[in-house]
Amino acid sequence: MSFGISTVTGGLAFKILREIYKTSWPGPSGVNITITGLSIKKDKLYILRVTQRNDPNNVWTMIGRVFINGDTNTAKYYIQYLVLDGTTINANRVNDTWVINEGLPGTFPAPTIAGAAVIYIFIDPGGYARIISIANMREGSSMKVVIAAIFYTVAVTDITSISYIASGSSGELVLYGGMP
Amino acid sequence: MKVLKITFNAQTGEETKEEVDVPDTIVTPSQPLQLQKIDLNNLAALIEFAKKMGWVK
Repeated sequence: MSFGISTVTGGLAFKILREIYKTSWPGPSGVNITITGLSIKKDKLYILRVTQRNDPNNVWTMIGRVFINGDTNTAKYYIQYLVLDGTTINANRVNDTWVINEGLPGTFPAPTIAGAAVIYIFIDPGGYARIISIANMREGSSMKVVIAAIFYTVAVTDITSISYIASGSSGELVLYGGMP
Repeated sequence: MKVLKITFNAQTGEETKEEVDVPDTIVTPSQPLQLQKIDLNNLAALIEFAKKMGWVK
């Protein structure tokens, strides 16, 4: 018996994804990225990879939200999040659609905040877009985990665009997806 | 607030970048999450939290 990717047959290998789009942006201004021309019906699954870092001299809040089909009304989304920060665990469900969120009160210079998230975007049989995000936030001994499920309350026939809107911080975004 | 707006069309490959003004409400959380448990029955903790938030000195 042997193990390894070479033994996998029948299309099980992790090769279905293509890089659809990649961009980066400088801080401290925010960014509003919209990727159009998509079709979740055709592509089945999109994976968004986001990394961000704040500018401690300009902002102490870092937030990034994902929007479906250009709808930036956060009231139309629900997020159920779970935050694991050391021994502190927080959970809640609110109308919002963030995948990265750090609101640290204080005075300048603010703490450096870094975050990275992998975000899965797809549609269910009822026509509702669903987002699952896992974020690895902060640095070193203060790092924490943010797990979020987001539900878009408007039934759609397709996901044709994905937007990522983030407040002041530099970062990089890559969208993967698509069946070959 | 000025932000960098990037639009990319996955069908045509066309990308545009421009600086645009957006309402702060779009990119700034109206109620930033305070991911910290506060015991509302603990006055000392409430005062400390209020100081941390800059509500009181």
